[in-house]
Amino acid sequence: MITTVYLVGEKVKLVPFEAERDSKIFARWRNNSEYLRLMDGDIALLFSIENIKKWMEDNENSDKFAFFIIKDKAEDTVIGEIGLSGFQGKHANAWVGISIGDPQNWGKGFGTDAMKVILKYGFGMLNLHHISLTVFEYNQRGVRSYEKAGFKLEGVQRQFLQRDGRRWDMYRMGILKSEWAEQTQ
Amino acid sequence: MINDKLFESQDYILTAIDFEKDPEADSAYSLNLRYARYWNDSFIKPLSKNEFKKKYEKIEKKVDETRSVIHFAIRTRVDHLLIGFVRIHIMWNHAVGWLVVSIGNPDYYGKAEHQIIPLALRYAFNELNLFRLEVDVPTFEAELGAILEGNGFKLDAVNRGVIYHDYQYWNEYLYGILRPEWEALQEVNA
Repeated sequence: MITTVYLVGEKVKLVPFEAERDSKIFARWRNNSEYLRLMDGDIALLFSIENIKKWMEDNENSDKFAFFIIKDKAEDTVIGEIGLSGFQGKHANAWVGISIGDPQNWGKGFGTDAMKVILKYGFGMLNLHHISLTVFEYNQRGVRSYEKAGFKLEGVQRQFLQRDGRRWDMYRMGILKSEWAEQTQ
Repeated sequence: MINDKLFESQDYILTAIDFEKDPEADSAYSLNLRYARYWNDSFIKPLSKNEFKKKYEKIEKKVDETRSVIHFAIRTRVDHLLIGFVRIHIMWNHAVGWLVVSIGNPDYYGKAEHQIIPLALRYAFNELNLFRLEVDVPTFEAELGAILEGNGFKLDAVNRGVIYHDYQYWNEYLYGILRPEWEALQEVNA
């Protein structure tokens, strides 16, 4: 029996980007520097709606990424983004990145649920063998969420980040298809 | 006195790309898919001379315009034979570099790295002023892992099954070294 329901979890659903709508939302989220510093190691930068929209449009139809908008299933509102990129050897490994935009939606299980949805997609539809992520030492909420989704700690990139006058570790986490299959049986 | 020997070791030199000669050598080396892996982002396949020229142009443009990557050809000191390349991707805001050393000429594989790794470390810490340097090593490249450990790198992470090569999945080791660790080793060796 094949599974027909993909990209839908208990609390969230993943839908394609709509550049016109989502560029405005992204620009708003990015005004929060805490959001930026939790999300990635890039310099905290602010971009115009036009710039974000162009980035989204430039990446439409690209097979280098599989990026989605996370919507709250009950409210049908845009709450975050999640995506796979950095495909290695096409089907061995990919990197997952995620963010939930408004702090009021943090810590409610949306991220964990979205992660489970994209793991199912990556392993069940894209035939990935392993999915990787990195998370910062100061983002323990993120670490707990990824552990709940099934990720295991694979190592520590010691003192990787320089922020606020000190060095911080970056954790490397990963999950194998076999582990995903085991936990979803 | 400032060190003026950034680009040379006992038997090897680091140089710019030679657009006339290198495409032929690299194209031949890339028939070995172990080497081709380091020139391809997704599908691993050998590249033509023209494809190498385009790769060179792309990387030189990136070096020149962004300084987010540095790239040198590795040649023998005696006859300037191209044997591989060294590349460092840089995340400036965190002073972190990601080093790639790949030797395409089978006669020098597992040998040249003994001299190139110390050279790359010195460049990374004394010229780029990085704080941390890291290297991803598929477990089938065990020689490289041993050379990195011999130069002070520590095994920071084991990424399970992320490389598919020759009918099987391989772990990838992530080695890292921090500036104070490298500096302490220089004092010991001095």
